[in-house]
Amino acid sequence: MLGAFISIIQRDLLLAYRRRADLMNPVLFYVIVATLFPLGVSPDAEFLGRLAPGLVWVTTLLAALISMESIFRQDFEDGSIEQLLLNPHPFSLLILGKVVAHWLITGVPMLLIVPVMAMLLHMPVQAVPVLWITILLGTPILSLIGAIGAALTAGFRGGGVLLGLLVLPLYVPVLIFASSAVSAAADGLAVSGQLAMLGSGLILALVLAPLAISASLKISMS
Amino acid sequence: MPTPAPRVLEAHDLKCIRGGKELFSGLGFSIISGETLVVKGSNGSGKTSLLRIICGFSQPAAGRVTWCSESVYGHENYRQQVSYVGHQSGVKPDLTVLENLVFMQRLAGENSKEPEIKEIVRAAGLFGQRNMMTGKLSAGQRRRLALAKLMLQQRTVWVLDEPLTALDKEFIGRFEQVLKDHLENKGMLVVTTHRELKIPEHRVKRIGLS
Amino acid sequence: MWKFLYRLSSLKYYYEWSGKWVPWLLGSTAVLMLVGLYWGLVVAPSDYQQGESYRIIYVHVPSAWMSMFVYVVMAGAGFIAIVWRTKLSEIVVSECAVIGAMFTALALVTGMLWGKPTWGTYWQWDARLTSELILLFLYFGIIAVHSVIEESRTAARVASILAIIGVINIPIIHYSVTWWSSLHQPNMLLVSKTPSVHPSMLYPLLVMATAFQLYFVSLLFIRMRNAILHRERLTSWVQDISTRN
Repeated sequence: MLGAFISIIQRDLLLAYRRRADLMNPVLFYVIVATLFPLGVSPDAEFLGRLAPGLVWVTTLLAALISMESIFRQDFEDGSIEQLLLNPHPFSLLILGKVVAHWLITGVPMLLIVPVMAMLLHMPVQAVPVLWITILLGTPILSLIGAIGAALTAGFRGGGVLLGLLVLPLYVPVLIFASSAVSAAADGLAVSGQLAMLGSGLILALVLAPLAISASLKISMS
Repeated sequence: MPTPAPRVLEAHDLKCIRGGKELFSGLGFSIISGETLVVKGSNGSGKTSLLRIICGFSQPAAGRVTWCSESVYGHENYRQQVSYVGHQSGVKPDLTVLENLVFMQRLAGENSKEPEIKEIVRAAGLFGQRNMMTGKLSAGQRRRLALAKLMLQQRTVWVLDEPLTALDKEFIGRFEQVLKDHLENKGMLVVTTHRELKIPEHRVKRIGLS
Repeated sequence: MWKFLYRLSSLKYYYEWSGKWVPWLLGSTAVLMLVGLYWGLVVAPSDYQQGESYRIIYVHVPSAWMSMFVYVVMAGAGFIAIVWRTKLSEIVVSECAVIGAMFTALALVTGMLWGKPTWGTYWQWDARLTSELILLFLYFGIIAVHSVIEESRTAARVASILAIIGVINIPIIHYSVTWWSSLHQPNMLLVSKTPSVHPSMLYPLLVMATAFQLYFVSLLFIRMRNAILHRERLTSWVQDISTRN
């Protein structure tokens, strides 16, 4: 069972590697948005620095949302999603493998680029480690919730726009706790409460989301 | 030696509605080991919908498909015994021929056996292309790869949607032999096809959709 | 009881059964609504802090309650639709989304109108208004599902899953928004929005809340009856009805 779980991660990583040009897209999106804020708001370092936690996290939400659209699209097009159902292993476990692979492909590049973004937006240095931890804890939740929406809309035309409408309201708690942790860290305040909330949110999402994703995929498939 | 309980794939009173239109209703069949169900019908008559119901991917609007008297929808044991080759073959264009088969086997939880897979690739006439990306193969070659999966998985119920599309004469002959072996091995076959398949006629049941 | 529920799951039976109830529901809604409004707007005393403007709670509070209650009903029906695949509960999910969005919008608008005299501005990022706004987005998502997915039964199943996910998430969203609001605006609530409720103000509020409940049920029944006629328009019993009229 674990073997099947690991091999689906390996397969999706290999597929992503074969199309590695696409891997750069979320990173580029991130950096470009980071350049838009100073242009649109103000280049003033102190002002930007105060906004930075929220700006980084709203951008993370949008980048996560954009990346979710593709998680099941190819599997629906080439028919391999059905083959996963005709399999001795629990469907939700295999699907969790797909979400893990998707997070490794999209979340890890975010982890790498986010300190640069924090610097571009003049975020106070003491907040950057906390920002990094919130991205580490928060983006898997975004992937798990987003995958439910992607599963519900995968089989339908016009599903892409719908995805944002369905998923973004559900992202609100992650945004609140993550950006407030970063703001608190910038002010030199304690952040353990917010991080604990993010951690428990991640556990809750890990337990419940795979069931919802597999039920949603079965509906989209039928 | 005790004989295992006979395995039966049955359907009663199936009804299917797509896009507000009734495709078929009151449809039923029953096949046992070694038997074939051939589904005929024009385009849009619901052949693919029927096969997907038989695989347990979707539920009919009424009636049910049963495997040994239990509904196939959500049947854990049944879905390990079904191989499905549909219009989309379930092969990944960005993996090579060998990789596709290796992952297929490993996702089913078996250790991949390299020699066995090579043997099957050879039988499918794809040995020369074994390290080519599947996306670069011709339609017929991709079809052969999808069908090679049947030999790899060795499952009881084969559900094939137009398996002969894009295949050349020579390979059709070889594939018919594979189907015959499967049926002699107590396998079952559900197939839609425009062409006649050369398989033992007395064990074939037919339904027509209009 | 079970037999009745089973019979009710037949659309034709429900249609006939609900037809008898609709006039009574509408009638009692109208009576309670008039009583509650008169009691609340005329009889009840004015608030010593907010004067007369507080009286909008007789619409605002019941609609805010209903906005959440309808969501719970929708999620319950969604659960039944997923587990037992009954058509009637699928229709409940679809119709609740529209009615719930309406109540939520009403709660938002009345909240904003109340905000003008209380806060001096129509919109304040207050915890309850923000939660209502996010709730409205959740309802919009479910309504949008029906316009994107043509197959009505599939759309209903997708909407059901969303409703169930939403009902798990709403407490989390509400809690996080409350926490966020307390963090950012410790001095914002100069005037508390919940007046200390004196019985003379509470009773008309409860009457209004009951009237809103009945209004919801009547609206749900009427909308469901329309949806059933539309869905079953090809069946003989619906054709009979249309020829009779």
